[in-house]
Amino acid sequence: VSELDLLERALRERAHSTPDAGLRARVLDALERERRGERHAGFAAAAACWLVAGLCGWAADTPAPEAGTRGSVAAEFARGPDLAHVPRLARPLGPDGRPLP
Amino acid sequence: VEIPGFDETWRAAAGLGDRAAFGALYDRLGARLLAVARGLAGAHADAEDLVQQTFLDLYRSRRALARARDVESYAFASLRHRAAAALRRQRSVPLEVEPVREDLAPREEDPRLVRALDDLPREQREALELRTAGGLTFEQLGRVLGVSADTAASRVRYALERLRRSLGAES
Repeated sequence: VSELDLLERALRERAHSTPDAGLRARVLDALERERRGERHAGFAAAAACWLVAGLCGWAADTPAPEAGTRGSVAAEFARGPDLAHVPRLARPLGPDGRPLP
Repeated sequence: VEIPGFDETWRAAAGLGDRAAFGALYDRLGARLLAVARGLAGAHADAEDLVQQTFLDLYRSRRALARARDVESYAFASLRHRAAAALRRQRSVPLEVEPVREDLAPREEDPRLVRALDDLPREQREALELRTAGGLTFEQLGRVLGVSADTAASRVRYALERLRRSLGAES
């Protein structure tokens, strides 16, 4: 056995000489808290999804406002002008009253 | 290389975060992780925190842990990263000296050995602690340090030779 082997053995013995004073329980408690935290976060995320889905469903189920009511005017304003009925601009007329080429 | 003790049943349970699986992991590695942490962290309270944080890291990455080829190396590598992060924080924050709890106080140690260990270059100290306190093979040591097994063995040898010189010079 070489001197280096003896030194290595002494270091091994030195390393394992001190008790851990209940570290096992502390570690497992910390993991349990982490597990509970993850579960709560999961519940919170699921609740948020449920809320958003519920709001979207409510919005989809809400009937459109009747014409002439304040709601319908606001909805039309939000849609923007309907230009389908506006006549297209005619070409400018010349002095003879005919459209310019 | 399959390390005995972490079979498929354990891996399936660990992947799901099972308490008993992590209890078994602690029973298998806890004392050795703590011994390495003491060597790397210095203060005993810090070492226990380091081990607790390491287990939290392992729990958070439990799916990867369950798939790891070598669970021991994976755990010691996690500890090493934690220790490195703690060391970086210690350097940026002024050290506060806390009294060591009576029950955790180290036994009477040769101050020359403590000094000689503290004087080792960081990478040699890491390799030596992982080898002697962690009980890792050179292959595992190489995996944890991200070097070949031969390089890992060299680091341990350099560390031991340097320690021997330091202790010989002082005696």
